[in-house]
Amino acid sequence: MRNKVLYVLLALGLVLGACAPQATPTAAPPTQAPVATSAAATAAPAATATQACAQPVKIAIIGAMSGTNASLGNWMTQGVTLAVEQKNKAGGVQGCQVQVITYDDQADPTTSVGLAQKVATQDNAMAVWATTNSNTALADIPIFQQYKIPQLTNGTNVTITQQGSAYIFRVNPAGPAYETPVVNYLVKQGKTKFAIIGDNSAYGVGETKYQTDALKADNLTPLDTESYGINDKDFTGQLTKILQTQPDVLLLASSEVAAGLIAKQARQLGFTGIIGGGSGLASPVFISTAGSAAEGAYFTSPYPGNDANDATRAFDAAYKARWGADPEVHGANTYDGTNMLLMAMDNAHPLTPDNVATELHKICNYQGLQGTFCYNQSGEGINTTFLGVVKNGQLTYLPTTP
Amino acid sequence: MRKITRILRWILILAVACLMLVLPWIAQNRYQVHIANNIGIWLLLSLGLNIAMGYAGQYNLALGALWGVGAYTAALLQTRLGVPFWINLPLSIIAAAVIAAFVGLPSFKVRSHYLALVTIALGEAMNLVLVNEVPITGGADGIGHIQMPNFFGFPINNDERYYYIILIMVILGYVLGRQIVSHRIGRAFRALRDDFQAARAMGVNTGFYQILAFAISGAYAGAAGALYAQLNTYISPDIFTFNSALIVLTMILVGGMGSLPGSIVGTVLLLVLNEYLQVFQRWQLVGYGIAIIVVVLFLPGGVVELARKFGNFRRRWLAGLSKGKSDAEAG
Amino acid sequence: MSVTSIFFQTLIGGIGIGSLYALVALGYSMTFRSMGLVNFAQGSIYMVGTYFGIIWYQGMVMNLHVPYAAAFLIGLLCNALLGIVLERIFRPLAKLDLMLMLLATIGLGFILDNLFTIIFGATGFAVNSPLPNTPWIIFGVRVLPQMALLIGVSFSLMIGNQLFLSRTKWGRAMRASAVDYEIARAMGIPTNRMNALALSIGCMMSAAAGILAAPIVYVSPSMGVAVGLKGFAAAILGGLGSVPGAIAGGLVYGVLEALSAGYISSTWTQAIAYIVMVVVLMVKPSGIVGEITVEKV
Repeated sequence: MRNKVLYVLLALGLVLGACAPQATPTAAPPTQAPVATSAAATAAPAATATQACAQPVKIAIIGAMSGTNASLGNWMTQGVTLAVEQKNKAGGVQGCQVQVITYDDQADPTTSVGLAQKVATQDNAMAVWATTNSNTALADIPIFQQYKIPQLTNGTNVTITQQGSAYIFRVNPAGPAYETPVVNYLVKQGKTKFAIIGDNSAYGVGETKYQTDALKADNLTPLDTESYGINDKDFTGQLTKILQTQPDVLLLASSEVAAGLIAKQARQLGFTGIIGGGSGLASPVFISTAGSAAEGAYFTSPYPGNDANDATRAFDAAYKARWGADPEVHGANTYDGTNMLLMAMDNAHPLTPDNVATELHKICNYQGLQGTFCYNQSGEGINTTFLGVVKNGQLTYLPTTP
Repeated sequence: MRKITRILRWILILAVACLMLVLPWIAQNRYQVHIANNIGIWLLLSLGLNIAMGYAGQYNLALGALWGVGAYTAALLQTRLGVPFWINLPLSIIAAAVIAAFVGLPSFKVRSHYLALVTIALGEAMNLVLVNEVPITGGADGIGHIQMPNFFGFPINNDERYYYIILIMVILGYVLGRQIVSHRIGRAFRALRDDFQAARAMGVNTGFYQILAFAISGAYAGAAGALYAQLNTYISPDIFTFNSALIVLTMILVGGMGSLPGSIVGTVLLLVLNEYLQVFQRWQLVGYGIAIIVVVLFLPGGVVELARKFGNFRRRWLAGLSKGKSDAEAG
Repeated sequence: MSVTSIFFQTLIGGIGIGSLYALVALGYSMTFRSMGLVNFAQGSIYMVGTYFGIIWYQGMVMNLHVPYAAAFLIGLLCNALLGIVLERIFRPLAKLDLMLMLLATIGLGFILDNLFTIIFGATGFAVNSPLPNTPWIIFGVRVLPQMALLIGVSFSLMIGNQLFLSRTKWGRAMRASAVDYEIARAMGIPTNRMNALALSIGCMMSAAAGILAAPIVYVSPSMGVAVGLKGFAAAILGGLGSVPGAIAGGLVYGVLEALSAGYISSTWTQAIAYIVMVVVLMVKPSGIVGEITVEKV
């Protein structure tokens, strides 16, 4: 009767599964209505302002903390934690300390959705950061919309704010804001012959499209558009093909490392024109990967650099003191977003996720590291980027002409 | 003695059945129901792969992409044409089964590592179709705004209600799987797996059964895909990759190859373990790797092997007991 | 640029990346022919070997900036030791079912990848080439010195390995042990030690690939993921277990990728490479070179 043992195992597994998060072996009494008639009924009630803080207010982070994309999750955690710690030192939100809980989705949408459910139904989080990767952010949107919990993201894909959710907030400009300024600037310089190379991920495909759209707005079409897989290292095939069309400008729709490798290989294949692109190029990783090939490359970034003004210098110092590393754009935009979130939490009476979302929508003329924020109904708060050029191996920003 | 065991067994089955029926009520929050739903979807995948691999010996590592075929079929039919759940579900199953049959064609020519690589390659090529055919599939951005099912005005709009749909599908899948493996098809599958040449010599239509094995795993993956798409309401190509096939493979190897209860044990164990491993944060995947190696080295037959050994031990013990008793009576 | 020089330009890129695949494919084949085991952690071993060498060159250990050639040798040596350790770990695996081997070696890859992510961070770093960064122009074709080094050293290593296997006493003992384990053992060949040697050579080849390619690609703990899978495809394409097959498979795969990106469609490059591979296996199930007979239907 070996089956019997299996049944026991199965039953055990089910019980374990049912009790996984609390790890209490007794089943809870069915106090909670299991089939809620509407999603609103399950929205988590949280500590109200009048109530003494029995529990800290929670902000959850879902992101890739391990695996290939671990940098993204780590940057996000550092930016958010820094802002929260500063707030806690100043007395917290409505007298309550704020607690950050992090979850690792390894950039996998299935895992991310599960964690979103956990955050929404079990942690009673006041707000959630999810995620830098556009695909996982998109996968999580229906859940936070259903539970009416504000979801902050620093992904760039335009479709994120087109899902019809009133609970999604982007803390940085969307994709087109990165590509249009570069294209327009170069067109103004008299360049007409453009070629595009980008990866086939959601990010690369999106940026390729925004570049093509920006060119179209200037009545231009790219001479050639090539793509590659995100793990590719050799681009000779694509670049040789592109160089046959003799472009003046090579636009990259790539992440930092690939952008560096492409710039390097393009120069080695004899490309003498201009290299340009979005935020992938606004990174020390791009410069170190491309080496001398990065020189003269045009880029855009939502963050004007650590030495741009007093606010960024203060942020730079605080970040360095806390994490022992130089801040970069992801740390800066999550820091901006968390500060706005904490402000919205201060203003929400009573303090519920739904009210926090309402308050976030009201934010206007907030001066962050990236510039002035003003949220609209779809959840876009800022649309300005800074155009720059790599000079002497440094990211150098051009004087802004909005 | 045997009667007591039988009664005990029925009590257990009843207890498990009751537990499964009332799970949404005893769950402390919706997240636990979500885990249960997730387990159900992966269970369908692992049952299907176990039939193809464990019983028929056909490596189908394109499973991730076939899951995607099911999900995309359901999502496209539903978002573009408004086809309701109970029609798009069977259509997804059929679509994935047909594509799986094509994936199975190379099995006429290659086996073992070669078949594994061929199916990986075909799966990844199919994934690239999802990424590149932007006008149809939405490309890397995926498909959003998928509606949850609605049965004649009764909306299945939360995890608790959806749970029962998944429960029905899993029970159907399991019962059907049992029927498949314990009858004629199952015998042909095992013959195919254990000695291919002998099976052919004995007049088994090997080609037909190879394709059937692929199609069955595809059908299960198709059902899982349709369920996944309409539960999560958003899908993108990066879910339906070789990695997903690997996860399913891990489940059936940990549970037990060639055993349907093994699929259940492996899937439940791995997904529940996953909840606990999260406390390790960065060390999570390292721990996962170590756990896999330990299972492979010390339990190559999976957890069901452990159960089997325990069962054998108990039977011997019982036999020894009754023997001792009869000896005593004789003496 | 003329049509021919464009063709050769594309080709040379393919050969460069192809020799990388070939060295990794050699790792698969050396392990398979000696132990009958497919080591899916080969991509991770490639990554580990790269770190073992490059951290010295980059001055990441005690700020020592070791010359490139010395770092190269250190990397090879460390990975050779790793090979010996792996042989001990894999010994009980070799008797298991293919899928169990697959799972266990993938588990090992998981451990290595994530351990190195924890130690060195996920972001990775770029490596400066020890050779000048300006390309040589030969008949209108531009060749980067580091690329020439990669191709040259890879080919010497592959030829050296082949000579070692066919001409030396140890090499012949290894081949005997690969062909028939029991007989070799009866003849007094220390088969376990021969397996360890085979694995060491495989690991050294992977380290060589990684350290040579490091200035061209980019070093990060996830660098082995794609190379591992493509190396496996190359090994199968050439005929798993065959040393010349691995080399041929790697080069064919690399050139195929470059040519389809340059001439057909860069969107479908990977899909084309996969489909061509499937077709080749359909036509010739034992691979391009395929010396070891495969269990056929």
